[in-house]
Amino acid sequence: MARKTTIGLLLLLATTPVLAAGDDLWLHVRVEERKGDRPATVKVNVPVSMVAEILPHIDAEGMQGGKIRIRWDREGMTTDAADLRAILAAVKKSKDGEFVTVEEAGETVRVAKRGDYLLVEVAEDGEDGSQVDVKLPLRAADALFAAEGETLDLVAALRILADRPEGELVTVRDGDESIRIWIDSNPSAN
Amino acid sequence: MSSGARLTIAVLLVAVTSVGIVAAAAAAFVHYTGTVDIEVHERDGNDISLTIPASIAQAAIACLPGEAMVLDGAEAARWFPLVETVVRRVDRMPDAVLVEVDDGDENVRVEKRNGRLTVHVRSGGDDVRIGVPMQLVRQVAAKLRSVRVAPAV
Repeated sequence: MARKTTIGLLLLLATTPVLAAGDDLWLHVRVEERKGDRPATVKVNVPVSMVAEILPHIDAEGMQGGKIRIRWDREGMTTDAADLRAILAAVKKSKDGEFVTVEEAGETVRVAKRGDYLLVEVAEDGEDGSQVDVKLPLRAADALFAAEGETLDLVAALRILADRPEGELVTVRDGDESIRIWIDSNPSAN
Repeated sequence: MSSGARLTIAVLLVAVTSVGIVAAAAAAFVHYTGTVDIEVHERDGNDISLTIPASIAQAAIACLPGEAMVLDGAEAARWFPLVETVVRRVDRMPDAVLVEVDDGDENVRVEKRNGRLTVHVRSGGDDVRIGVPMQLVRQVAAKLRSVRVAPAV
């Protein structure tokens, strides 16, 4: 779950600054969780341009100057930006709508291009397994992975995707918890 | 009317007018700078409600000797530009609810509305609401620039 969420958030980080060109666009995050009988909700609404301006100021482990370093180590396997670039290259060579499937222990990652978008689906095995769906403009993905090494170039994605239309970016469903991230022009969208 | 009486009336008129002008100017200034509002309602019935002219808080912040304020280590200081950027952007953005957390018994809401930043926390029977003019928030963020950072020991 943590890895899927990380993938989603990485892609979100890559896409949100991109929309900074339009001051009217807002990034919305909704997290819903059921704790027993009580539902818990977290709602965040921020202008995308604000996110874009803030990102370069964040100097934390794994993130500097608007670039993010990615590397997952899990069960003796390592996944980094190079692997993701290889997947992206394979998807670009494939037919529209044809999924490239990566099966790992306990989960399946499916990636495809559809029109101008890159679709990523991560599904954990089992009926209760979590599901992550990501929809990212293809040119943004190219720009994102244009950086060398283990980093993703958020600034490049920003330049390319400045005119991306509104829409869903990430949805995560994991049992009683769900996360939805999208962009539109409404400051208080629900 | 004697000249003494005329003089007395003139002095009274000037005094009343002066007091009126000062009061009106003070009211206008408080209206312009806004107020800091703090409301606390506790479940046991205790209520606290404070309304402070933001101009007083602004004056207090302006008087703080920023260079004399020393923070240990650079850890906090590296977030100052981020804080300043966030404040500047929140100040420029239209009214909106920025964050809302609802956990059944607890509710937290951070909102910008009418040039004010409001934080409203409800937990059980307790209710706390703090409203601050953005102008004051900006001033606090700007003050951070002058804070001197001491090397970490």
